[in-house]
Amino acid sequence: MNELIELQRQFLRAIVAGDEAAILPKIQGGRIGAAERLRIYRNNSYEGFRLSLASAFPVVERLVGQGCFRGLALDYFHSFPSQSGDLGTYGQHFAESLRRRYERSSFDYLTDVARLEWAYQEVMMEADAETLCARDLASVTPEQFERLRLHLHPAVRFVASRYPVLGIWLANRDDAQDCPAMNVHSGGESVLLHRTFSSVELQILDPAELLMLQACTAGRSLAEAFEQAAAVDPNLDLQRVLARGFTFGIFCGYSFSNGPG
Amino acid sequence: MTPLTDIGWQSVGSIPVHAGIGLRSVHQDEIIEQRPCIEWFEAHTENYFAAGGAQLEALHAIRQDYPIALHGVGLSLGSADPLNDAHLRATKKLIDRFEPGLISEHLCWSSIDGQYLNDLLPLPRSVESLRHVVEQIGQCQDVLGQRILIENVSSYLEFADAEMSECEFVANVADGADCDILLDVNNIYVNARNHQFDPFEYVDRMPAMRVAEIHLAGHRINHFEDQEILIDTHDAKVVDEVWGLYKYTVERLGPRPTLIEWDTNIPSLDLLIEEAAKAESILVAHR
Repeated sequence: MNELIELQRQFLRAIVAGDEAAILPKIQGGRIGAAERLRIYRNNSYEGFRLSLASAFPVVERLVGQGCFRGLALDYFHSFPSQSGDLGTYGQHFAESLRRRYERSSFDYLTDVARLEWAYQEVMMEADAETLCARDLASVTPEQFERLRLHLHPAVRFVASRYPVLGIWLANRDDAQDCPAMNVHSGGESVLLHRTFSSVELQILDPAELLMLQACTAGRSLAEAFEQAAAVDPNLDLQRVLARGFTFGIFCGYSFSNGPG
Repeated sequence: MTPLTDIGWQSVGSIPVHAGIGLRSVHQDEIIEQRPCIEWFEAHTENYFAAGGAQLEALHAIRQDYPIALHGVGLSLGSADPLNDAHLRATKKLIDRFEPGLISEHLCWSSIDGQYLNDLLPLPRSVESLRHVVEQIGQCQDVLGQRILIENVSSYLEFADAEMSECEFVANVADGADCDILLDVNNIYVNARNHQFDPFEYVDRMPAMRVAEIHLAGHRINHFEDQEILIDTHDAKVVDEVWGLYKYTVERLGPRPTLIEWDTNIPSLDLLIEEAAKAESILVAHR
């Protein structure tokens, strides 16, 4: 199979790195030259990847413009080659690629917009699970409550940002009326993404609420998670956080930790 | 060559010998709400690799009322790499859940050394390449637990020193792997124009018993100075010449489940239904 491997490697190198010397003699020319024929495949690949990114990151594309987005897509193609036959996973490192490019620049906020958009994609495609409601906990005794661990629904993501990332996203969606001037330094936002029925919804979280829910995700008991978060915000209202959690359907089950009650 | 019309195929798997339409996300809600009169749908396998959510739910709802075929674009059957286990397992999971009437993939490659170009790239038509892809299809069918169809792809280049013609390569692969053929008539036409061969002769040389499905789609003509090359864009109506070749194919091989593909600049469902009706009229005339 040596010739097949060699030919496929040479073809890939020609498409990705423009190194055509080895593959050109193996392509029949004819009316149209071999290099032109290869160019069709290069364009097809680039365009496929660009369209896939544009469909997952429409707000980033709108913020930077189509021309610039094309450049970002090309940059991403080279820095994070596709590792899957499923284009649905292709954008998973796009935020990281933007971070490398824009860190410490005034466009740093684009990284968080991309993180939000990818989280949106993940929430859309995550596994289904029954959600937990308050009455499911009716039989939990006060002693058990101390050791209660709430399990986060698979289709839940958090995005914490130094920028008003949800505001930027809302103002620049396709269905937004126009793109108002925004001060990206007007304060950070922490966003919860979850699924209600089939659609993805986004909510702003208080910093302490975020901390508490992240601690739950990390497997802490509710009591421990609350204690950690209350250290940051002594006014944190456990009942309110739980009520919002049940309303948004972000828990899918519970268990009890083995630690002391 | 004897036409197979007299065999009287009613269906292939659970897919009826009628015209169907490629299922696209933008039409899903309309299909679920209005249940239009369409005989069957073909879904792109990878579009349903999600663990859960609306996309899978929609396919589930559509599957209640329509036969479905699964059509993969990312398995890279002809790659010198081993088959991608995760991709195969995800496909198998969909098969178990949706019980598609037909499962198809492309006779091409799209990755090497684990890097994907996510495009349908042409294979060299050598004995080495033939043996390899036959083996990979065999493994794929073993894992999936059933036969698959392989589709002839459009191509914009050919490798030098081919050891067989394209139609021979397709037929030999199907024969060697004991799989079926999804004959894309537009792709035959595109390649015939791009590489200067007789598309009717190509059809004549297809093993009728293995051709289990037909694809139809639109293409574009690109120009390089005074030369032209046809690109398989799936973004336009089927052209008259391809309808002619389709009619010839049905005459020669017999009626087969036929799918209208349209993947970019997707039009209204009504327009796709019109295109499917055109295919249906040709199928009916040869029943």
